[in-house]
Amino acid sequence: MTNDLSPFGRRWSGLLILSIAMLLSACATQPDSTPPLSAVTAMAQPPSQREDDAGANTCREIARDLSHHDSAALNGKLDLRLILQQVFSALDSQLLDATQRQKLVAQLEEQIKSKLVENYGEDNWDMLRGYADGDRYLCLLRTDMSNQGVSYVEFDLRMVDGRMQIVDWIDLVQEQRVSEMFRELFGDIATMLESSTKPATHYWELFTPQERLDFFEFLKAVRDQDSSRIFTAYDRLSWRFKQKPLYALLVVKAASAHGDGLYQKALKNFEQRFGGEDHYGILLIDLYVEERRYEQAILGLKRFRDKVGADPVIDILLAIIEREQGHSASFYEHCLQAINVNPNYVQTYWLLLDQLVADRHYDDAVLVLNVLTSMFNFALSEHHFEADEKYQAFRKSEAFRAWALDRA
Amino acid sequence: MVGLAQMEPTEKGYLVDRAPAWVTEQSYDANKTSSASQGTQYLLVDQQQHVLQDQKLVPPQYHYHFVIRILNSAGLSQSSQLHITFNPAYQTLHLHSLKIIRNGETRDVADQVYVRMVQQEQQLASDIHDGLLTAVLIPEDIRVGDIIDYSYTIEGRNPIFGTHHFGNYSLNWAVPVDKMAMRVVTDSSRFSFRSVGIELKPTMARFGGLNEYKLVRMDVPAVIDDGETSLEYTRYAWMDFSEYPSWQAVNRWAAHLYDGVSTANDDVKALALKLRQQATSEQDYITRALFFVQNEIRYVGLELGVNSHRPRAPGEVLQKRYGDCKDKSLLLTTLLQLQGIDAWPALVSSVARYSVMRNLPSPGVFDHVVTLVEFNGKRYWLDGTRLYQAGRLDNLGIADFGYALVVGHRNQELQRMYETLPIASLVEVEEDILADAFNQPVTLKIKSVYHGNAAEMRRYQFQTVPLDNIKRNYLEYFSRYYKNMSAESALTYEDDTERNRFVVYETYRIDDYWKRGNALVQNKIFNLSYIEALKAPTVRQRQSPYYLGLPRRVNSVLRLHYPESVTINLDETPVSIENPAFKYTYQDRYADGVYTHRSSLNVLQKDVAVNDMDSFLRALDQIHNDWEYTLTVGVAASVPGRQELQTLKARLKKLAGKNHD
Repeated sequence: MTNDLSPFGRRWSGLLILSIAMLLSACATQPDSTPPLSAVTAMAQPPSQREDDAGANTCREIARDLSHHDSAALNGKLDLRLILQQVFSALDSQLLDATQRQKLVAQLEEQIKSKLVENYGEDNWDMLRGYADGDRYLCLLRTDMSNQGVSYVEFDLRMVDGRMQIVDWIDLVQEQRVSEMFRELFGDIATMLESSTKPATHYWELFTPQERLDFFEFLKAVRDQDSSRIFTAYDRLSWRFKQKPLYALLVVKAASAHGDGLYQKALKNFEQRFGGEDHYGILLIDLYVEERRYEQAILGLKRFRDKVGADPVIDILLAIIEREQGHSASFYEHCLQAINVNPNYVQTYWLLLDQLVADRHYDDAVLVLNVLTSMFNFALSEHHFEADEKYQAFRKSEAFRAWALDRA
Repeated sequence: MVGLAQMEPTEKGYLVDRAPAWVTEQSYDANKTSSASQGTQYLLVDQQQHVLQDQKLVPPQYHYHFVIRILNSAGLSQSSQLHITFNPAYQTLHLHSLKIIRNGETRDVADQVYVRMVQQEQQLASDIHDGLLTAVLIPEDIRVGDIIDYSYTIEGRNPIFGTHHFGNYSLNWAVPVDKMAMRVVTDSSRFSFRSVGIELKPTMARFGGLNEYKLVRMDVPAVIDDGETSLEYTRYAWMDFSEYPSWQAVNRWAAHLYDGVSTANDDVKALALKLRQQATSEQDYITRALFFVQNEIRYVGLELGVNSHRPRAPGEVLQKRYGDCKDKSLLLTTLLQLQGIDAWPALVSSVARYSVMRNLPSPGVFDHVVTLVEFNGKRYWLDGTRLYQAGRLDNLGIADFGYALVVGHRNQELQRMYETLPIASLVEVEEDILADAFNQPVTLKIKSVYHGNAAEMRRYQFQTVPLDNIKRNYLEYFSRYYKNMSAESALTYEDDTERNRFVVYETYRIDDYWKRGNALVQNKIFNLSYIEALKAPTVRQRQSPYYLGLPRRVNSVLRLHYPESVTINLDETPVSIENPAFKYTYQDRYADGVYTHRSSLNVLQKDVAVNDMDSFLRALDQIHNDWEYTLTVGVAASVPGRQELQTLKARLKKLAGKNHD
């Protein structure tokens, strides 16, 4: 059961799919070459915190390891003893002897190490900020915006044998601490395994054989990432599990790979069960936007910003929500805010370019092109805008022609 | 009496008589030429002593015979006055001979030499009155080329030391010595000898029914002293001898001197009661008792006779309100013991420190007394003579004397005070350089937080030196680095006596800070936190370890707030410069127009081993590069895209309906 269990997962955002659709269309014009790091890079990093040097350096290395999919390097920074200890304590049952538990834990350790990069390592990761907290260092990383959405993960670093090591982490979007998630999951597994042999002493320990079958079927469906099976299995799950966010989150995660309404359905289920808990606001934004509940979406994003601090990605999302509502001035205001937070976040400019073109602010669109070429060294020229229909009018504008002439 | 006439000193304060019969005359070669370049040639240095177990019958006698030749006028001024120090409270000086030999002709002037008796009180500056007297012999008509041959015996010994004898003879000097001799004549068979610094053993023979130990060294070269070395690594050598078989025996000797509780009178008990009523906890009681002894009992050492080592009764010390280290230690120990707290006086050496272990057991090695407190499973070494201490038991400043002999403790041996070298102090410095524009002066704000010993040093400075003088000295110090600097506001400080922290705030203005080129701006950075913290030794080619001082830590953050965002090419990789003696780390950062230099110096050892000197000096040179350097940045016009970005942002403001700002 644990052999292929990988409950890590990227959460997706339908909102981001909307926005990414916009971005992708703009990104289609981007030259393939990665722009060299601008000299302005140093100009506007996030506000500096009082950083612990060893912690900050390890934090940057983790971002680099994830971005480069460097599993070996990342695993070298993992100290899973804390997490495994949690799992081990959850498995404290009479059913599994010490050897079996050790074996199970060893398999889990192997799984975590083999899947960590796979689950988190598909994008570029940036260190947003870090906080020294006694002998700990909390390292907040965020993925770049991409068609897979965006992830925020806070790694919990501790000094182990003179090195800063990852001992735990929290998926901030899901509000899920890995060690707790494993403890809960393995605790339930142990309980279910044990319930078939051990007499119940309380009514809540009375499990029917069917409950056990349904539970393990759900886990198998998660393991196989079979979303239709997951939904069916989830429906059959006992109330005991449905009252826990963990299982609803597993459903959301599995459904996020599908754009056929399953994702919205999973989110709706999650909202109905746990939507009253404010901290899940960011997870439900896709649902809010889909259902045009913009105020809730904005509220969720702002709460999330309070949690993770200033970040241009959040301002971009707010801008998109404002645009969805036709609030043009607010859209530009949030874009300006995104630039102020971090002028080097290039996605802001691509988003702006498309909107300025759509709003027929061609002179201003050229200003964006100037920033992209001068600050980011993009080798843009007229032909980059030829293929896409939406730039047709822009290409004919006086501002664009002058810019293209200048670039020629 | 063995050879010395049993007479009282004359009005002169000394006697002129013949050498005792037990003394063996040592010959010397008067024709031996000196290859040394100093002003005085030492032809003979002979030291002998006669010590019997029954001191009442025959007082100990210490005989000295020196023969020197004046080589030049420098030697004439250095050596034509002879100094003999003794303690008239229990010693008598017998001058035997003072011969001036010129061109083979000898005249003995012992009877007629002018002798000035001087109560030097060399330690008076530290309020110690030891009663020592120095006889200054001023023979007439001494010329370059003359040989001065003089001998004397000092009879008597401090009675506090009882029947066990001990002492030491130097085996080399800072100058060459042609012949060096030592001799001990005794009826005791308990003597042990240990040579320190050189492997030598005295020969033993019988002499007039007594044991005779002697050693002669010829052509003893001068010690080349590197300086700045802990005594345990000194290149000087000596012969130690002692009748004490062990440190336990020394401890037993000391124990009968330090029975404080039995001598605690009502005044001491009343003080203990008062402190108990004021204290909020036992820990608080300990520090209150310590601060009382430190601050309410004036330090005066009347170390006359037996009081050189026997403390005065706590009641007497309390009544007189003064005492020396042992008096204070016994009073403190007594106050703590009255509260049921485990405390003992502890003998230490403020000079020998870790070197104590090299010596044979004897009371002579100790010159200071502190107090050991064992409380809540921890050991605290408290010093009643120390001033300007503050804080709680766990954050008091510390003094590491290496080893201590804790009087009456269950462990009667020499004890290492701290198992690992303690970190004596921590200094945290934050410097902010604030700039409004590149053509304006900058403001330098400094916040220095001193902990531990550093806090006590700073407290001492601010309590004894007028604030204006400190301010002027600080400004003077900084001005060596920053030209055109002036104090912008008053120097302020906070003395956090609860946490033993001392915080100093300084603000300066620096004119002409920036050097501007076309699109580049330069400025100098000085990490002044360290410049005084770790220095190179005066002698770099060393033969003995370099003494660094106790382990300590300095953390520094320097922030340069540029007037605007700049382009800066920084290697933000953390740098660590390590050496067995210290670790220095630093890292440069730049974000949001602020250049941050974060660094830390950990001095890990108190000494740099000779074998580590090369790497120490290399590392020191390397880190000096980080203590003074130039930053060069690109400004506005040179930042790619900056102008375009500003234009775009201005437009976005308009589109966002924010035209007003």
